[in-house]
Amino acid sequence: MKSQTEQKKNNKPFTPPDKILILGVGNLILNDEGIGIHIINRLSSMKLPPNIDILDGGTGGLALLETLQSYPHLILIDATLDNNPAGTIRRLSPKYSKDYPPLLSAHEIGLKEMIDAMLLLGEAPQIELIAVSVRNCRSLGMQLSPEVSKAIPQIVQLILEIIDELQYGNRPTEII
Amino acid sequence: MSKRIVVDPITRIEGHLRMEADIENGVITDAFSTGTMIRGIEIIVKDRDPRDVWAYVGRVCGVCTSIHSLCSVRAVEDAFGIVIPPNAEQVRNLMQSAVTIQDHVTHFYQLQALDWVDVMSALKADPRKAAEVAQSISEWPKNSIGYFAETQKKVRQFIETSKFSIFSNGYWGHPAYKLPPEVNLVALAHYLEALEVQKEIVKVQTIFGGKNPHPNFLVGGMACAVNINDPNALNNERLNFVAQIIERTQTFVRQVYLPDVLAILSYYPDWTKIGGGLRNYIAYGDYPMGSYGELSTYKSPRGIVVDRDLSKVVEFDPWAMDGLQEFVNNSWYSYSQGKDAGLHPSVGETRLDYTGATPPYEYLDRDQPYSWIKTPRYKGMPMETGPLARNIVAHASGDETYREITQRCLKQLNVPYEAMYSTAGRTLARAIEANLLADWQTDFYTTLLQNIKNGDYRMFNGTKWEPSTWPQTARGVGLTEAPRGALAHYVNIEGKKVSNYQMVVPTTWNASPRDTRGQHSAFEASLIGTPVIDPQIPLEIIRTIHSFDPCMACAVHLYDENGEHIHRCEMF
Repeated sequence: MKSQTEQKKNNKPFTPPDKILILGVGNLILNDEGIGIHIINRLSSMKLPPNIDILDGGTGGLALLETLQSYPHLILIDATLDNNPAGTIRRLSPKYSKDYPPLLSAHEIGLKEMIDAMLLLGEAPQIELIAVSVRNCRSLGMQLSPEVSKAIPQIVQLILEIIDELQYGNRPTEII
Repeated sequence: MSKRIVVDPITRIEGHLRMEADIENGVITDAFSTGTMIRGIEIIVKDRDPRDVWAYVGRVCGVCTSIHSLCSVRAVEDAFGIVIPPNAEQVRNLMQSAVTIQDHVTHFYQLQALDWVDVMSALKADPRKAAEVAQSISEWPKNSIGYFAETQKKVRQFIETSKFSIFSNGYWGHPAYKLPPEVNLVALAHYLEALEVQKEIVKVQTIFGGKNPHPNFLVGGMACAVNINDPNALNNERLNFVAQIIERTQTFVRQVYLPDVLAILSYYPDWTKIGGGLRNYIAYGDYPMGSYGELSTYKSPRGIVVDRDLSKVVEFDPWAMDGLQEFVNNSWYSYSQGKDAGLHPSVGETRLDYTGATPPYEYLDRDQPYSWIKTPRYKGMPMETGPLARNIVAHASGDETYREITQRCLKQLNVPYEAMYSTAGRTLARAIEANLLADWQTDFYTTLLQNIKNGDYRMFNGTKWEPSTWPQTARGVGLTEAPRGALAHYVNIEGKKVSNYQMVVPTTWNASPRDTRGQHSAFEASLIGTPVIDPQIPLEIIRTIHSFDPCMACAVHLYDENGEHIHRCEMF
């Protein structure tokens, strides 16, 4: 027998869940710097709910503006060169560019400028940022460092939890 | 007394830039341009399947992704002698022009305009006066009093809540800002407009390339199938959509971008005399209406202008072994023939040999190699490349399309053609080019549509797709005009794999270090003679470097004559 709350839920008219975009940014040929893209590649082989889209955003920039503005929620994965050990995962909910950690996506018009541009235009998704601390991104190559590579399952898990939270209001487990 | 100014990298895109300049009595006397990062994509694509290389080289740059991919498929097609179908050629033209126009528009408004436009002054302008000014220079219907008042409100609100954010890198109130408040407001309103418009422009890329920012390319053609009635193919609906985008693009570049550039430059007449730099210009030419390589069908002509002599165009031969050569005498690479050799890219080498100081360092050791960028030369001559070079080469070629619009603009500014050899000229050349490209998009589109109407649906030539059809060894060159200038990819293929890959990119031409004869490249040359009113806020340096669209983020560091750090300001 179904519980009362479940019955209540079932009686509500069906509303499709909000669309969520998972955006990985980074430069694939700068080793750890490409972690965001590696995550997207990993997710592309998984079965995700139909309201979830994934995108390899490259190094960001204004070309992504329209796509990002078309989603109410954005889960962003990027590399950061902070003082934390490589492979450290942090979840943040920044608003303006000044609230962001030192992300590496600083092209002439990078990710932060694009986020500001969305706010300036008055149309921006709610952004959940997963910042992954990296170390090896000044040399050229397509290899992740072992620390960052090891963090991939945890990052994917966190993404799934954030999706769950955005859709059903469940709190994800804390990441240490 | 001489002060040293350093421009240092903060970005992650390949090809980071650091500029170091000496300033004496308020004028720059010498400059050193350093690429602080290795562009080693050549090493990454070695031994790969030549049909896959476009996907890797697309990652070299975060902005011109598709241009590198295009150049790569052209190189491989050249190596195997593949002629692509006319439809694919026009689709490539449409995608390339879309990316270039988008790059020019966002470069001007989002990156460069704030070097000339004072946002704080714009907020104090009278919207009524702004509307009057805007209506006097353009028939664009949105330029109303309400529109400018709304812009002020929006930006004021944004600055208050975000604590400047995107606008925090300006030098508001600097005496080098010369625009009246109402012109500042017009430009600021169009800054917001450009953000919206560029979203439209770039959709062409997605329609034909499947996705953005890394669209699909294909050796032998394009990966979009034509089928007028198939909802998943390139059908009537999508083609109509492309026509709409082209129309919107044309309206914006004609009625907003070009009039704005002309209005702004009219307040900065000094800048038609500053920042000229080199006297040689190179363009590989692009936008074939026939097949790639049929130079007479190119919309943007190929050639070289030497010493600003517009009476003749020197031929560019991509296979002359003594023509295009790269030097490493001031770069962190070694050549098997020694440090002073110049190598044609088809026999080019990428052997890293870092001999510089361990970063972070305060100064360059100026007697030692100082860059990760090689130094390209054509028959020993340094060359500027980019929209200005394309304009000059077209002018010297007698191209009436280029001449007509350029003369019209120069007449409006009341200056002779010589004014193009400057920071202002580089900025104007880019806006002119955006207009030409938008016009040409109609031609690309019409040709494509006519072809399809005639029943030609071919988009791919698969005769050389299978490796069994390839020769044991092959070599090819891909040439394109990227937004920032002449781009060449050279590929050598042996045993079905890439055995050598060399790219000579626009910013290599422009930002490279001195050659064996001590000749400057374009960035260094253009800064010499540039006045700097206030070394604390070197807005003038930024104006000239930005006029090249340098494709990298920099931070400007200032040092006094004792090497003490006196100022740092970010430039993006």
